[in-house]
Amino acid sequence: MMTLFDRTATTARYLSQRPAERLRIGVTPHQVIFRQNKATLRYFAPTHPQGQQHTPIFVSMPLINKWEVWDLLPGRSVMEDLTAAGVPVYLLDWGTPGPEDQGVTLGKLVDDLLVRMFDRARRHAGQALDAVGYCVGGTFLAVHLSRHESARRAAFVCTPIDFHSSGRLAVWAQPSCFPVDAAIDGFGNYPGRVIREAFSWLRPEGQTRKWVGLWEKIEDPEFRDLWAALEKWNTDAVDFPGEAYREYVRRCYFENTLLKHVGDPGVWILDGKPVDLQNAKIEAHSIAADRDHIVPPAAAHALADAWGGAVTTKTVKGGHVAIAANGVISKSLLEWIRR
Amino acid sequence: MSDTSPDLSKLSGELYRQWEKGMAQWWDQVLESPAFLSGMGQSLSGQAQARANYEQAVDQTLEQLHIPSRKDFIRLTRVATMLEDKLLSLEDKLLAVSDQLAAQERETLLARVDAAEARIEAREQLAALQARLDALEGKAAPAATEPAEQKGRARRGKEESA
Repeated sequence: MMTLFDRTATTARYLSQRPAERLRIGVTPHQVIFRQNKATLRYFAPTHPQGQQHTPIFVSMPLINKWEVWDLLPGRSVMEDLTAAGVPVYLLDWGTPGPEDQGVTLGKLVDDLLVRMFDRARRHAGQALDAVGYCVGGTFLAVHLSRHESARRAAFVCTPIDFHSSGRLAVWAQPSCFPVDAAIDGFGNYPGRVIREAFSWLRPEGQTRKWVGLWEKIEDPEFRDLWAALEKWNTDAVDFPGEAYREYVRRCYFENTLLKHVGDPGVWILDGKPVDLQNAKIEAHSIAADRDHIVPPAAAHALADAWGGAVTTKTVKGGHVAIAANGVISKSLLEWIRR
Repeated sequence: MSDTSPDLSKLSGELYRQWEKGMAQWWDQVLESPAFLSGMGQSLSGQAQARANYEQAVDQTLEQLHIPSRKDFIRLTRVATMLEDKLLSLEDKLLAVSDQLAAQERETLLARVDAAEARIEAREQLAALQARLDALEGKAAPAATEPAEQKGRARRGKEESA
């Protein structure tokens, strides 16, 4: 058992080595099969001894962080678990937008980029795909699938649909206190560092808990590695294309259009075509985490009220990011894939 | 010393949890208060405006020095992105045409297979008809020779009697 002093000294020594900077994340072997602007389509081939065992899946990751949260470390990777089970995975990494991308609209992302990414993935796979979306990547996927027949069925992991049930985020993202227009006009793209700060202030006590957690478990090398991997991923925030963010905040956070105007196609017209999740006819599965303070289960499972096709829901134990690192997402997705 | 340390750790852990609980309640009140929300919005607007002013100032200075500014680079990269978009649209069209060609090729191939099968079938039918005809001719030949011989014998008989 370490003394209080030893523990503190070991923690300080560990932090002085800058572990997050030295660690590599996203190391599961894969190949890039297509690029468009900053976005990349990554293919993870199945590693099952008997090759492909299931329908390939297309994964739409969130735009606000890096995709590596699903591939943190060997043994802590959704990608590794899925490919080991014989699932070919096509992952859409939206990339890091530059100042030249501030005019990229939501329509461009949903009706152009996603369409092309699905097309290339389907051509590569040589068969129809199942689709999976995580967080806001799932929201964009839902809008896309209500307008295009790109997949056989879809699973949405911690995907906000009822934005007014998004806890503290819903309180902060109101027209009266969130000047989205001024922010986009000034910044161009919505800065990733502001998004990261907002997320850390959602639960301020979590910031001290993070350090105390490391201090308490400094003897455990596996925990230390995971801590450093999460720290690395968390500090590497990504800007959100300005015009896409403006429309996303207005329509989703301010107006809650996806849920409030179900079956009312005149409310949100995107690129000349109404947005209405009722138009989606494929079957969908919503996975939410019970301790998710970013997308609580109520915000995610509202998919059942908005989606046009059949919807099943599942609530798992954990937090928004923790379920990616502790194998819960892999397990839940594999259950869905094997149905 | 080592005997008391675990207790100290435990105590410090317990103290931390109590402090964390209290802080969480306090933060809940602060972070959703109208004053905080209004301050947050004003701060964001201010930061955005400051950023815009700073970039404008840098661009103006660079322009005066006849050095390419950030705006110029943004314009260039936008053009590059638009070009990429056009190329990808062309690639989409090529892929669609190649899909159509592949579909047509498949259809043509299927039509040729159908035609070949029809010819084989027709040939088989023809062969069957030929066989039936041959069989009929085979039956008809002896029957046709018998009456002719009878007629010949009758004609010869008449001639002899005359």
